[in-house]
Amino acid sequence: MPKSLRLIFVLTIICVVSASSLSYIYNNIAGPIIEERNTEAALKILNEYLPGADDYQFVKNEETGKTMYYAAIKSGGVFGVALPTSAMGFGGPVELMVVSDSSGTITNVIVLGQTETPGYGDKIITQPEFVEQFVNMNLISDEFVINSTVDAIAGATVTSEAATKAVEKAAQFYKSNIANGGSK
Amino acid sequence: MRSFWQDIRNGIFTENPVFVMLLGMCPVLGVTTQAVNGIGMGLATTFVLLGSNLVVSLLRKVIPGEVRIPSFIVVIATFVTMVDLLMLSYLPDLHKVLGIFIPLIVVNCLILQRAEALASKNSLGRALGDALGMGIGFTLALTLLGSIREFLGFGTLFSITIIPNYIPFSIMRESTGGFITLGLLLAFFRWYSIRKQRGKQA
Amino acid sequence: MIRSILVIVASAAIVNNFVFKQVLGICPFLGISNKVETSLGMGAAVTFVMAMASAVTWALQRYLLIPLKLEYLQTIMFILVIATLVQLVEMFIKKSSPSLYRALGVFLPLITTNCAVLGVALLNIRSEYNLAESVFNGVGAAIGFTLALVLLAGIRERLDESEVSPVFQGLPLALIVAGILALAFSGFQGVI
Repeated sequence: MPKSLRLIFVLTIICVVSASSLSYIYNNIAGPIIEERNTEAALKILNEYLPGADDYQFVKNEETGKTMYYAAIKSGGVFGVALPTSAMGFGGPVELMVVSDSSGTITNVIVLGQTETPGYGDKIITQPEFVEQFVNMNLISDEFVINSTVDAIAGATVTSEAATKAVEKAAQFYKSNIANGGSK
Repeated sequence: MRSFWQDIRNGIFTENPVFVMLLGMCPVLGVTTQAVNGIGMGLATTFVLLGSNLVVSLLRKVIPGEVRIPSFIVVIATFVTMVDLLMLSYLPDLHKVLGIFIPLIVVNCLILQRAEALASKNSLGRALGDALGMGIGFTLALTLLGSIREFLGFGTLFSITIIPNYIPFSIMRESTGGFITLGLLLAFFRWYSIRKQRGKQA
Repeated sequence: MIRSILVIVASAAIVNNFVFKQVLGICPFLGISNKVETSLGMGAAVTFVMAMASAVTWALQRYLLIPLKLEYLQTIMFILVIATLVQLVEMFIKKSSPSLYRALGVFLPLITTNCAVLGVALLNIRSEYNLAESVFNGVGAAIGFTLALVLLAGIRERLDESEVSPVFQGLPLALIVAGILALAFSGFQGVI
């Protein structure tokens, strides 16, 4: 075999073996576990903040397969939705779940995860007054802008801004995908 | 012929990847705000080292020299992705804390250096012994650094309160604490070895 | 648009400085910061590669990995892209500008294992930046990296002239100086 062919051959084999072993791990080990944990975590939140539903619908993006939002259904109609959203904070993404009723009025904003600097950004958890500001604001009619419609936590500007951006993102999604059309 | 134990001791002391060879500095400084993060990062790196040294040593006669580095990088990246996926499945909290430093194990110069300098030229036994030694050395160094920073920064060790009502030395939690702690540790080891040498001469 | 781009650049270069705040790219930061001149050369090479890597990895993620649901291959694909890119840049500069090659050539192979490059590519995706934001985040990060390198090199050049206890000579002192610089940079926290 000529040298150059051998080089390409060896590299290709390595890449193929690597990709197939990873895809095996992803599809058969990691994927299902992650999926199950996410579902469990989502159901726990849904049961707590949108109680009394007959069924919870997980609406997925067809292209990426990711859950875009959760709809709580009672007697055939959607009475509330929960939108997972995130934005980049200081140490990593600030992940939130925005829960609203069927008119788009926010009933709860739950902090799912953050890796912010202790003593600064983690005030988003230790000072719940911040996320409580969002309650009763409306995803359709309100805008979410830091230091204008939402007050930042003193000493945690970046985190507050990230959280506000995340809610604004959820609002944009709600306006274009959920409002008027119901659950798509 | 060096024995397995010599390789282990070599990784922990003589050629400690962090304190002697100064390799893989990003995770060393980046994740060591708490001792448990140091252990997690160290074990993840050890797994990748073992995997990459194993494969590189087995394939050392198959991989042509010209495509050596790209092949090593693919092998290393494969094991890093495995760690990434497995940690996300079984240790989600640690995965979140270590964040971007998990995929960045790929560019930890320690792993490529061991593949290139040792595993690609030696038998399987030596490659694994070396990986284990280097991995343990790396883990111990990270844990030491993490313990010091956690103790000073939070007053705790492995999240167990050592000093109640501790007034935290908060720069230890920031990058500054990492730089300065490592600098002082290096200076300490150097002071110790100079003293030992003087002792021998005297 | 322009405002948000300026914020991204300033954030990546100063407030969230890659070296001092995010602790990325430490190996070259400690290894090459002996002289101001070489630091500038390394900085230029990194800027070039980071901007290009940001654009290419963004497109790869958007048009290949997400549609094919192969996001778990991100790390492998990105590092291969960066390694290839570094090779191409090296070949291109070698042919087109021998003088530039002489200045940057030695640094180029080191960039593949500079974790700041892979780091910026991964952070672009995690921050959900668009193409322009990704490229400017790359440029900002590179400016921050160069700034850190030059600052430390300037101080180390001066320190070489002074009498330092052998215990602290070289890296221990460089690390402590870097720590003090990082402390100074943390003063920017909360500016943006």
